[in-house]
Amino acid sequence: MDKILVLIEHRDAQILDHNLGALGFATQCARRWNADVCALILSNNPLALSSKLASKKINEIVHVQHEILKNYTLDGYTAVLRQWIEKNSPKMVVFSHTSIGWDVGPSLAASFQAGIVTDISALAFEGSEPIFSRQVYNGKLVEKVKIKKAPYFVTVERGGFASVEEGGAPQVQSFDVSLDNVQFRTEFIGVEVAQKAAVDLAKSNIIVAGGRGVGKKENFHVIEDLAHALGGDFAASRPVVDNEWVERDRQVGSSGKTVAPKLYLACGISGAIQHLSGMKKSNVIVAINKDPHAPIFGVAHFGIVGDLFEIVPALIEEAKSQGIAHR
Amino acid sequence: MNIVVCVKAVPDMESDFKIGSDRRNIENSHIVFKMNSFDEYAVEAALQLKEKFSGEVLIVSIGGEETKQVMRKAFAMGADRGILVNDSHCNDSDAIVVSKLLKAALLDFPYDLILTGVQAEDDTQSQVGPLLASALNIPHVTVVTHLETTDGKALQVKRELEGGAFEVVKLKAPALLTIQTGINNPRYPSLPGIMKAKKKEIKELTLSSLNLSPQNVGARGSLVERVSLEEPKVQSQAEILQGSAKEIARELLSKLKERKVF
Repeated sequence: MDKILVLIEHRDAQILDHNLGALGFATQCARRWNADVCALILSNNPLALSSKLASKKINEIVHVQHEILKNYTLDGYTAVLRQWIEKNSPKMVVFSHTSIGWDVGPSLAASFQAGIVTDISALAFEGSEPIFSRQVYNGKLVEKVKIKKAPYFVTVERGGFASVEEGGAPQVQSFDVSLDNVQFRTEFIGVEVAQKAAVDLAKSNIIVAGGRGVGKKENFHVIEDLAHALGGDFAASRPVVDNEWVERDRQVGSSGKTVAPKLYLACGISGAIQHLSGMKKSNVIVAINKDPHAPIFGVAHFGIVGDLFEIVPALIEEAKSQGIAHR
Repeated sequence: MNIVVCVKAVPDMESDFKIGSDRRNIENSHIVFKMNSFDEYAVEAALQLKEKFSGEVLIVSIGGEETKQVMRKAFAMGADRGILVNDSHCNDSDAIVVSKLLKAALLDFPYDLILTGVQAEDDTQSQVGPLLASALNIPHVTVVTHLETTDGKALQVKRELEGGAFEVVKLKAPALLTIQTGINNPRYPSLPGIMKAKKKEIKELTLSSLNLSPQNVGARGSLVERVSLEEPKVQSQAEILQGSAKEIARELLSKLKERKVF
C-alpha cells in the first residue's frame, strides 16, 4: 500500500497544532489513493509527544528517537527523513509551511529528483493526480499547479486545512536511524522567546490595526487614536513593524500574534496571507482600504473602500461623541 | 569576504493584476517591475558585511530587461557587479531548475556567503535559497533576522520561528542565508551611486555558455507545472458601507452595536 509521510513538528515538548491540518490534508490524499498516512515524530522522546495523535484517523505513528533530535537541525532532519523515504518510498511527503517545512523540504525533494510545491491552500484531484492551489501576487490571484510525477513533496499552509478526524487507532512503530556519519553543519544554540509585550493582544476585545497604507510613522497616531476612542488596543501588520513605526510586540500575523477579538478593524492593511492567518478568526472584522481588490475584504464582515485618513478621523469623532470607549 | 546576493525582479504588488489570455500568466504590459523587497534586505546585509570585511558583492539573477534595472538598483546601493542568465528558454522554470541555473552561473565565483530574500513577493515559494544551498553542498539557514560575525567565517544567526520566537544557530561560511525583512534598513541609492551603477558590469549568460540544454530547463525541464491562474473565489460576505465619511462612521458604529461589539 502507498504511504504518505507527514512530518510532525514540536516545540517545548508539545506537538504544534498546525500538524493536525497537515494530517488532514494527507488524509484527503490517502482516501483518494487508498494510501496509509504515517506521522513521523523526530525527537529525543517521541513517546511523550505521540499521545496527542493516539486517537487520530491515521494509520501509523512512527517514532524516531535520538538525543540529537531534541531540537531541529537541517542535517539531522534531512538524514532521518532521507533514510525513512529510501526505505518506504512514499507517494507523498507532507510538511507544514513553517520554519521547519520550508527549511528542510525543498532540498530533500531535490535529492530524490522529486518536485515540490509550497504553501498549498487547497487541494483537488484530476483522476488520481493532485492539483494544488496556492495564493500568488499577494493573495490577489490563485495559481493551480501540479507535479508531473510522484513522489509529491509539499508544504501546506498553516491553518489552510481542516484538522484530521478523531476516531482512529494508529499503530505505533519505531524507526531506527543511524546518525553516526552525519556531518552537522549547523549548531542549535537555543530558542529565544520574544520580549514580554507591553500589551497582551490575545486578551484584547477590540483591536485597531494599521498597515502599510498608513504611509509613515508620523501618521500612525490616527490608528492609536481610534483604538483609544473605541476603548481598544492598537496593533500593526508586518511592514509597519519592519519600518519601526510600532514596536514588534504589536505585530499581528503568522510571525507575530494570533488574535481573535470581538472587533478587528484593519486600516490600510491589504491582507497578505500571513496577516490573515493571525486575525481571520476575529468575531467581527472591519476593513478600510483604498484598493477594492485587497484580499482583506475577503475575510471582512464590513468593508469601507476609501481613504483611511478621511474615514478614521470621522470614526474617532463619532465614537467620542457617542462615548463608545466608556460603555 | 565575497558575497553573492540572488535577486528577483517582481511586479509591484500594488498593481492591478489581470490574468492573461493564456490563463496561466498575468498580463505584463502595464506592470511595473521592482526589486523583490525581501532581496533589498539581503543586498543591504551584504553591503554591511563588505564594509566590515572588504571584498566583493556579486548580484546574480535570471531574467531580461526588467531584471537588469533591478540589478542596477543593487549596484546603485553599492553592489559591485552582476551575472544575469538571460535566455528565454528559462521561462517557466520551477524552483529546482532555477537553483541549477544559479549554481551554474556562480561556477567561477569564489564566494564566502550567499544571501537571498526569504521569498519572492510574487510567488512566495521560499524554495530557491535552500535548493541552491543543497545544489552547492553548503549549509543554509532560512528566515534570518539577525547576523553576527567577527571574522567573516564563523556566523551566529537568529532565525524567525512561528509565533514571535527566534532560534539561534551557529554555522561556518561558506553558507547560504535567506534574509527576512526587518533585519536592517535598506539604504536608498545615492546620486553618486546611481551614476556609478551605470558603469558596473552585468555579465550576461545564455544556456549554451552555461553548458545547459534547453530540454533541462523551462517548462520541459521542470517537474512543477502551473496549470492555471485564477481569480480567488470570493467568499466575502463583506457588507460595503458607502456615503460620506461621517455617514459611514455613524452606520458602522450602529452596525457594530447591533453585533454587540459595544
